[in-house]
Amino acid sequence: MGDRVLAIARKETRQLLRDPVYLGLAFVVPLMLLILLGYQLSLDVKGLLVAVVDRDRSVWSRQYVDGFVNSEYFRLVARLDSEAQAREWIRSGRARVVLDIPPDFGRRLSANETVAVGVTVDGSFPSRGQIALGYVEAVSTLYNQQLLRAWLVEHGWRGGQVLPVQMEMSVWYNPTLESKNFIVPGMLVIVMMIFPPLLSALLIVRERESGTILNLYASPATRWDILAGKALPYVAVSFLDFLVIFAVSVWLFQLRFVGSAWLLSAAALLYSICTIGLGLVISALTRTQLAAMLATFLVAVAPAFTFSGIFAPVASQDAVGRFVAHLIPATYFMDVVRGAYLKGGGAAPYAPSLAALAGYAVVVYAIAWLALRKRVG
Amino acid sequence: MRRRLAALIRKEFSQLFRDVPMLLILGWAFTGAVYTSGHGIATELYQYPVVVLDLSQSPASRELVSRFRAPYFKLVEQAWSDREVVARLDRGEASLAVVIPPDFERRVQQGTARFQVISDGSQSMTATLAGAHIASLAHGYSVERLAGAGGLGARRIPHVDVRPRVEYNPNLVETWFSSLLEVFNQATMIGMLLAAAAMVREREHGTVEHLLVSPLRPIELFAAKLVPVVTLVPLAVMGSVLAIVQGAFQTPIRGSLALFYVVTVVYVFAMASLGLGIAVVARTLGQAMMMLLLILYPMTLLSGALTPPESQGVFMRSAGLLSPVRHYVDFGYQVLFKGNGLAYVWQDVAGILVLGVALFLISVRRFARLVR
Amino acid sequence: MVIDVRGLTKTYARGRIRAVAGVSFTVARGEVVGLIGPDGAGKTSVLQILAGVLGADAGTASVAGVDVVRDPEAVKHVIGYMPQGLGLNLYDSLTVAENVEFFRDLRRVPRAQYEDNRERLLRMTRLAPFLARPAGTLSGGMRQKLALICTLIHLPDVLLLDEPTTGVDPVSRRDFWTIIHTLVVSRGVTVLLTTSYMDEAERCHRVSLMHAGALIAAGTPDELTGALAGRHASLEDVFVHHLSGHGREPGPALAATPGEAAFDDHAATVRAERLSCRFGAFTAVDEVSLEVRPGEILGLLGPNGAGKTTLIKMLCGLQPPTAGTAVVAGHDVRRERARVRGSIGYMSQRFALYRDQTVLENLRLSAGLYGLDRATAGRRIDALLASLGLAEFRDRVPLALPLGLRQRLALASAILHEPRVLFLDEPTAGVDPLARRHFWDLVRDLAHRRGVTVLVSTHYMDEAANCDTLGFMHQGRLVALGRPDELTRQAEKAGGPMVAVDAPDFARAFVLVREHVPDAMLYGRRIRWQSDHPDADIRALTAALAAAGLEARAEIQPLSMEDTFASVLHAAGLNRG
Repeated sequence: MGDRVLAIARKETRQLLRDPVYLGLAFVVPLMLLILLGYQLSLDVKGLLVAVVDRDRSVWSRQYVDGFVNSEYFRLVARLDSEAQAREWIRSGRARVVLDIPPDFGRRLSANETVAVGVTVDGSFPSRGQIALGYVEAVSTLYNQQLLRAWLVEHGWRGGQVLPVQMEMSVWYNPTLESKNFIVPGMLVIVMMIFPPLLSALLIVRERESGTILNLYASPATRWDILAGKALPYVAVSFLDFLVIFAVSVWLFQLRFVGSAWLLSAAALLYSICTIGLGLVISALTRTQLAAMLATFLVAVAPAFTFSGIFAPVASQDAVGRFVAHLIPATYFMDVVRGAYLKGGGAAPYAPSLAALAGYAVVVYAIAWLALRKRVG
Repeated sequence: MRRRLAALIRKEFSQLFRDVPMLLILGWAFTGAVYTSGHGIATELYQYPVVVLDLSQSPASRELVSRFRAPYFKLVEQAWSDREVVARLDRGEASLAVVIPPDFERRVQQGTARFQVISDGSQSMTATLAGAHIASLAHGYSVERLAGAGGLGARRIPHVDVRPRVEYNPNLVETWFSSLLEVFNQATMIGMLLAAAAMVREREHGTVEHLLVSPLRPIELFAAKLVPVVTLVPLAVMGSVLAIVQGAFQTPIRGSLALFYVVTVVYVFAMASLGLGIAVVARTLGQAMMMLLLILYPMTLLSGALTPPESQGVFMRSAGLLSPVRHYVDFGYQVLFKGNGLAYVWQDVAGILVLGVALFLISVRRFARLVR
Repeated sequence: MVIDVRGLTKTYARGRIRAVAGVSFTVARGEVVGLIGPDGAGKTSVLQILAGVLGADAGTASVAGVDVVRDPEAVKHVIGYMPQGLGLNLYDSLTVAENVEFFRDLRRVPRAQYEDNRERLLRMTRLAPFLARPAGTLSGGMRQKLALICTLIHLPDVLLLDEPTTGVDPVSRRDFWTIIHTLVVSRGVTVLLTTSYMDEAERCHRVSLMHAGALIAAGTPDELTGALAGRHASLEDVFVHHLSGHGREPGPALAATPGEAAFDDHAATVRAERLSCRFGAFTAVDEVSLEVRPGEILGLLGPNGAGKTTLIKMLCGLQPPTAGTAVVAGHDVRRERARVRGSIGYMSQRFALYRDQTVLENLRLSAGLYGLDRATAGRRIDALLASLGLAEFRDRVPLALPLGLRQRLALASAILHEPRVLFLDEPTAGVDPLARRHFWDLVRDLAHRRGVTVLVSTHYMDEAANCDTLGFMHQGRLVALGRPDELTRQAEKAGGPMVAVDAPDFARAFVLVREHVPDAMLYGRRIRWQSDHPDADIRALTAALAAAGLEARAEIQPLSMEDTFASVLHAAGLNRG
């Protein structure tokens, strides 16, 4: 079996190397994405545009608003006069958040009363809306703590130094809470689900379009020889893609990496085998290159982007989302990647994910084997 | 000239309609793919898995734990040791750990209670949100304790209460947004890809020579390639918006569908022109696809859908203005969700129009130079 | 029997189309059997079934003792299968050497055997100097030869070759047959091939004629031609005879070349002056000058890669020339391209048809592209469909049509707008003889009766007789230009007449003759060579053949067009060596 696999693999390798534009782009595009995300493009929601309708204009209200001005999460864009104006700013997108401070704000606080501040948020981008609300809450909590401390001092409660119930927060794995630290490893997972399957999805359908597939059909090479021979160089390309991205992320971006590079590499290899296999299944089932490409986008790329948990934990998805997440290899690889970059620890916690990837590979190649017939028409 | 164009357009349509597997894939792109994407990405705090190590096991601690409520948090099985807490976090079974010390009850009485929260920062956005939430929750607990505590009597404590009101999507339903985003993404990618493939195929099959020896002009050829894409993709977009986004997900559509349709046509024209430009440069479909991704992904990232433009640096913000995707995403949500009219979105519309015409002219020029 | 086929049947479209209908035949070891028949007769399907890449619906077929219907994989160890098309099974981006290596590895050829075999095949095909060239840059003939090496590299016992010489120039075709005969003689290889060249079919031991999925005649070439009344019957006559009884109208016999006066008094509609085209260091067309008048058919002949296609493309305005001028229909091609385009028709080698559009739709598109109004378009399309015999296929897509019909469709869409000048680039490659005759009738009619200027390139030397003027191209240069009979006369004056030897055992006789005359070639079953001293040659060779116990008969013949071509190239010192 081995030498026929190698024969096909050598041929594929040579063909791949003869089209440097094509192969080059398969490396350049992921790198460009990475550099964009690593250097320039931040996925952190910061500098949200906030407008204030301050009907109180007291020391109290100014202090409260200062909390927003001093936060990196907000940028104060305007002080408005009326609610109607506020709505208009939200509507036109000039502000994402509007604070409506009532006229008796200062008076009620100085009377130790509770005062309600209206916060209007643009919900058309819901996750951004939720983040904005969370930030408003955080700034308000800080202000409330300030108020509470002053109140405690006034009432002689342990010198005002401690609160009755105090939370001590420690952040593990990504102490600076930078999105880069989890988006870049996440992009590694996605990128490896975009380019390798797109490359391999054209492998069989292209030979079918040009007619060279007959060489393989009419030869003693088995279906397994053909699949393995075609997969081999592309798995290597995919793995190389991984190594480049890995190197860039760790050395160029100085991303936190605490886990085992060996474990990550093993998972990347398994994942590459899966993604290339997925491309081959699509290639064996489609009739034109265009259809193969589109199918890859819809079957491989889009679900990985949507369900693998790159932006939020899989646990936060609804039942359908979680179900789909467990059907795709990206979710399992994401688990290992995030772990290796941020958490560390031995291989044991990742054994189920690695096993899932291995199982996925077996299933994918079995389907490809069934889909590939050594027959014309 | 009219006859030449009509003949070619008729051919382009018929080629598209003959490719049945392709039509099925396109059908899925605007139905199934949109529907499933509605269940996907959620960056908000929803069912955030929390593990509790309660060493106090007292009414006070149970009171605290009960504040980690749905839908924001979801308590996973309790841990009984530090090791277990670490393991749960390591394995990703929990993203947040709450550790309550044995003397919690007593110290609450004294007013010096502390509890520890360990947050898995690997998903920084949700972790930040969760942190803000717990801070506020702990503060609320303090205030209640103080208000109710015997020593200080039922004193009043100054407090700012946030009364949120969300415009356009009161319950912040992610599905409304993500399903529509998927429709936009499909329009972008399929618009580009269909046009690029129609051109590359003509070259790969040698039929382009047949066209080049005829009196057909490059601009006519390009126009003919664009017409089916510009006709069908916006219709598919409309169908998807009405059937899936509005129909299946009950998303309220406030704005003018007519305006949305017209601008979608202009947008698809712009993206298809870009696709044709790529097809002129690429030798094979594979190459065309790679170049397409090279352009598509940065444009998508800069579109403002994933991250607000104001969070970017000046450079990235200006670069985004060169992307039709950015204008279209902004336009789409403004019109459909907010019900805004041209008075609000004219800048976006102008951006799409200018970029579209520029891309079309550049592509035609390049092609004309190539065949000279 | 190495190949034994009984009642083989293959249907498509749920049994509605019968591609192969109960075919039975056998091929013995060391036999060369040719399957001939019109396009779409089912020849390719038979070969594909035997190669184990297509399933059969009924019947049995065994190859080298393996039942290919039941166990298609087992047969793949013993066969060499070469699919149809100009080196279609080659990987364009790989070099010649890499293509050969791939097939070696795929077939697990032992190294010693490989080295030996490869060297011999490269020598025979004269491809050794091109080992480092990517296959995509080779000419059609070279591709075909390379494909043959790839098919033969594992020394298969059974060869299944599907139109192996289609689109290959005559010189390369001779190389090809030399290889086949050498293998049959030295190794007892069994060969089953399909071909549309009737002179090639005559080189087979036995020939089977297929039509509409069925075998309608079989036997040795002599038996088949002998069964026909005519004295000088050729296989082509047999082909035409049998098929005319099967609902296909034979075209009228080739008409004689008309007199020159028909067009000489008109101004030239195509004029090229020192036209050149260079790609980097490579000169594709080298200072070609020619003139074609209305009603004249100029035939361009030359081996693959001689520059015929590039020349035609420059005249059509598809390829900008690097030097020289071209004036077509009164307009400079370079400067007034748009004006030229309305008055020319172009039919490319690849028949640029939309494969997913029906015959009618393809024609309507062409009508539209040239701005014909609805009524005119409808009238002309109907007329062309009728005269080209395409009417019954108007709603079929080209992909489902045999090559001959596709070719006629391509011609129809090239002449629909009634161009003044028609460029045809190898319009008949791979088309069966009957369809070719019909095609030429149409072209001659266009030129001689309607005054269309025709410039055509071809590989078929017998088609040269249809042209008023011939241009021989070689390595980018136009090495001879003139009326066919003039060219033949000149060649005969320069190199003497042909000596032809007929021997029943032509394979052995050929080996012997070549020892004396290295230039000798197999032509059909005849051994021929051009000789300055024919009588002396005949005396010497008959003696030598008699001494070897071989029966033989020799005679002197006039030069054929192919001989003329070879002779002109040779005389110009340009023949490859």
